[in-house]
Amino acid sequence: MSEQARILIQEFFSGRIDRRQLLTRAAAAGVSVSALGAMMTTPWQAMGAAAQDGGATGDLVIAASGDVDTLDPQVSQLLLYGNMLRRTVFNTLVNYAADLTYVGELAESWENPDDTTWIFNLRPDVTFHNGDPFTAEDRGRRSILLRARCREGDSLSSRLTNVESYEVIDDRTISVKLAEIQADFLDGLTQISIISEAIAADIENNPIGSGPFRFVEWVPNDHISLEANPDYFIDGQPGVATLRFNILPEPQVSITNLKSGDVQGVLSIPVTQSTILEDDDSVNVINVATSSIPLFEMLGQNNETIRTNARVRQALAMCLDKNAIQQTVYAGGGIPKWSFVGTESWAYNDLPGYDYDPEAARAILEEEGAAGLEFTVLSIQGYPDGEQAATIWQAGLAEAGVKLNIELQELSVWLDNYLNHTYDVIWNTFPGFADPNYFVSLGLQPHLTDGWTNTEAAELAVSANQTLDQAARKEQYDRLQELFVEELPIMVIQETPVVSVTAPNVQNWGINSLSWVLLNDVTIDAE
Amino acid sequence: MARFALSRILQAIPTMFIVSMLVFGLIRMAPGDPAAMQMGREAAKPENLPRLEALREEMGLTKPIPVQYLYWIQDLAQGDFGDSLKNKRPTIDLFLQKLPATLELILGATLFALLLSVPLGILAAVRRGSMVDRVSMGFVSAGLAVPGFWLGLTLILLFSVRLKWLPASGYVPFSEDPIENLKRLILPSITLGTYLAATLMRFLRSDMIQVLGADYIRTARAKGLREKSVIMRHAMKNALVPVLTIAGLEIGALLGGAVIIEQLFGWSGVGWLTVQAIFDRDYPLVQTSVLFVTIGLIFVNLLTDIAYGFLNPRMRVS
Amino acid sequence: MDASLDPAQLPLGGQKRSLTWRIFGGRADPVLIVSALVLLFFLAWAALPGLFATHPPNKIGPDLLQAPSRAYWFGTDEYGRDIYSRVVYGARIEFVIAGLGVLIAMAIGIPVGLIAGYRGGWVDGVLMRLQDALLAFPSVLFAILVVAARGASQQSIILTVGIIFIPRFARLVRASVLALKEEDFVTASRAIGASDGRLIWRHILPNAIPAILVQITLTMAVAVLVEASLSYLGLGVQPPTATWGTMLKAAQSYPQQAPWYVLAPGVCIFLLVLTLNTFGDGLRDRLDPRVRKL
Repeated sequence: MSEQARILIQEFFSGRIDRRQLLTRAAAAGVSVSALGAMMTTPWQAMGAAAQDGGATGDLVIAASGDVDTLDPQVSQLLLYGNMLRRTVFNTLVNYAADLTYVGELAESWENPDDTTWIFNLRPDVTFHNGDPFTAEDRGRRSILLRARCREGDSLSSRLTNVESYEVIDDRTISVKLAEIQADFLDGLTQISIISEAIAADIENNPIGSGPFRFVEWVPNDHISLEANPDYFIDGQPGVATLRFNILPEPQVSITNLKSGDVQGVLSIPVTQSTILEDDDSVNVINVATSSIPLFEMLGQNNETIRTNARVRQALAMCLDKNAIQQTVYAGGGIPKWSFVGTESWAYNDLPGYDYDPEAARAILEEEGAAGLEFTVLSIQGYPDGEQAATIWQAGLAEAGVKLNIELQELSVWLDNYLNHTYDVIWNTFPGFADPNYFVSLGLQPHLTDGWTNTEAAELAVSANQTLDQAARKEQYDRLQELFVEELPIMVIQETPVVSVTAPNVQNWGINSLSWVLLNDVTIDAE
Repeated sequence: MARFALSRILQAIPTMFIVSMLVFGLIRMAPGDPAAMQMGREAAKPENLPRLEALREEMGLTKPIPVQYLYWIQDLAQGDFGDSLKNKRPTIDLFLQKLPATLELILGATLFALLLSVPLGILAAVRRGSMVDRVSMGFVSAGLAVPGFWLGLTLILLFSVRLKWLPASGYVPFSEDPIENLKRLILPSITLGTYLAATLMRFLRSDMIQVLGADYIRTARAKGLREKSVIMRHAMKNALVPVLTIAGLEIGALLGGAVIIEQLFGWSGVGWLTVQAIFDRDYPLVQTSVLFVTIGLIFVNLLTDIAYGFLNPRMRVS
Repeated sequence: MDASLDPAQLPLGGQKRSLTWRIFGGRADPVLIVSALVLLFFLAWAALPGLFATHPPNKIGPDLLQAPSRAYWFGTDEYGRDIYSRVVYGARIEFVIAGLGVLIAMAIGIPVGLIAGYRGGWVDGVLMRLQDALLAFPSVLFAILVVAARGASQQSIILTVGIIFIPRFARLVRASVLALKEEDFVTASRAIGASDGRLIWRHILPNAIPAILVQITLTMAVAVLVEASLSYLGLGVQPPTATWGTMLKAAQSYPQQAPWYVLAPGVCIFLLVLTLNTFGDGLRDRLDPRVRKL
């Protein structure tokens, strides 16, 4: 108790929390008021350098381009939510290492004694921000994982639909039985935030996790603020005392805020707007290659010719000047490619694809009786890379005698058309992912049940995720990628870089190849 | 006067009904599904379809639209404005939370406009054809023609980035840090207030010119009053009445401008909230904020009319 | 001053001078003439963009964000397109949006105003409450809602502009109808058995024309600004069509790489709105020296 109480009192004396907060936190941590009172009377300098122990000093303000939609980690699907809350306030059982292999976070270790059973050994020294201990089950009722998906509507609960049963072996051990073999089971767990049981019903207002930062407040459309969790179980994390995200939708305004010192970091800005900052000593540009892929989905309901004729799709692909896109949209960054799998992944199959050749495309289209084709591509307002890629494609298609119309739609309208497949061709972008099945289940499956009639691909899509041996899996994904590039149900454009900008005194700002911005190690030097 | 106010309030009731139907109908006519917005990419998975359907049911989107409208009116009658579909918070709370920022911005813009237009407009009228007059008229022409967001970004680049005099953007509640709040208010107020300042200056100048030529001013001059006191005591008083009226009527335009200026300056207010809600298809939030904004505008117009009638008794008859 | 003493204000046979003469004839107003010339210049761009442009407006090139040069007078944009040519082609869209928008507003607003003013009573009440609702609804929010409901496109913007400006024309026409209804010549015509339609067509409407003309130019100016605002919010005309609003929005991303980019569409919007305003003001002074807008 003394350690917690000491930190609380230090926070109180340093003005970071007021008296009321001190008392409620102390109560939550099980420190009695009298004990607190006794400690309050000791000179606070005598209590040692607890604040330095954590190393969490400094206030970091970061510009984010949008707001979160909800505080509930099991509902929000936004990349921004991941950056601002999922990986700061919450923990997962399993997380990614830098090379995207799996490491334990709340699980210390795991084993799978047979193909469908996973046993997790949990970390012993973890408490939630409200003081609740982290254990395998809550009062014998629900396992931690079951609790995490307690509500039916929660979108992320689909990651656990294959779970047949949970068995709590003891406080520190949980066993999960799957209905079928599922190769990407661990991968799914990286998205399931573990929450405290006491607030599960109120998670929308009170996001209590066990992560390096504690939630302080959310003013929608304005800011989210977090503070360091002094009890965090990973040494050296967090690196700052407070973390605040200011919502600033306009990238140029974010940059001006950075330059004027109002914020010390910008989560992401368009690559094209970062080139000018490279030579600017007053800011640090962090440009990281990721496996995020923008793409065109080709199998919409609205265009019979494109949907049913793979040769036509190939011809359209020959009109896509990927070099021009790389230069214009991504300032020369990233890697053009045709497969959906990340170029750094164990499963990547480097296929040549189609060279830019509108003349050849014109010939093919004539052969197929599709000369003078006209179609529309839907893209999203506020996503300039979609508009830009489409505009460049439009110019290439014009050379081959094809007329492309571009329609930018509001996100909600675009999403409607995307889900109902009511389009000719639609632009979309997938954030980076570690396991190929992420894309197969989200991107390919909807087409395999609808427009892409290829039984081999449909079988591979299922069987590859029911194979645990990585070499055998790779063989299947190799073949699936071949079919994917040959028949082009979806035309991948390239892998894209992600760019953050920070003030020079901000250190350890991380971006991984999944385009996640990692803030738990970030520190800020006093100036 | 009381009868006048009462009849205006009674007139506002059908207006409110039309507005409520307009906003309710328009936002539902817009394609887009709030349930899908919440599930996002995951909704593409075939196995998630039942979840999507359940979410629509939970959000009350499955009933016919006229029925939804009646439910809404019924709830309104009981003082229930509904919860946001997105974050489940009461829409009235979300709106009221953002209201002070917008009110402050509009107040700042109006204040800027008055401080600039009143002295310059009067001076321009008194010294017609002088340098002051020409500069003022130049400002009027320019102020009416410059797109707001262009002006805003230019001001940020100049005063925040180049000169570093003022913070670039963001809202800090006055109660938290008054100085910081006011510092951040300056640039958005100027950006938003420029159009109003130009409008007011134009009217003030021509009103003033007209008033200065009026009989009673000639009489005052003939009585030997000094020019300064003629202008201050007599002319200004009469020229300011229509200016205040116009300022009141222009509040609606200011609110429209705030929709863009708030976003540009990260000034989290009602305008931004409403636009975001429209884009999110957060129906209840759109309805609540548009309704309240409209009530506010009708109220301000009413006050303007009453004030005008009070200051200018001739108007009351017509 | 009594209205009947001013020959320009005399209805019926008294109005000998043509409208054109009243605007441009007599002692020349330099401001009016200069703004008319600038407007003509923009209109020439709009009518014959091919003649003025130096490049196809949507032609993508390898020179991205180039500074102004002999080949590219106003530089190039982020796709290597010629900014000058895009600005020229954009003029047409501006005039189409503003012109058709105002036309819609007039087509609905003028009859509504006539009927409301002429009929009075409950018809007037209903029509005016509808106008009130449109006026009470902040126009930018209304525009966003309409464009959201119909999808962003040129037609949506034209329709939106048309709807939000209906009250401007309706109120103006209603006011002049109310003012004229009791005038002697109208009462006289009615006494000799002129029909309602004939009264409106021959006597009331012609008298409102000067005020309507002024309102057209001023409303077009605001319409140009509305297009820019909607573009800023991402609700503008679809790419790759160049409009000044969408160009200005795109240029905002490159204030340091390409400061000239933001200048070209910005100055064009500024100049067009400025000249429309001054032209409208000049018109008002010429046509109706006694009445100022309130």
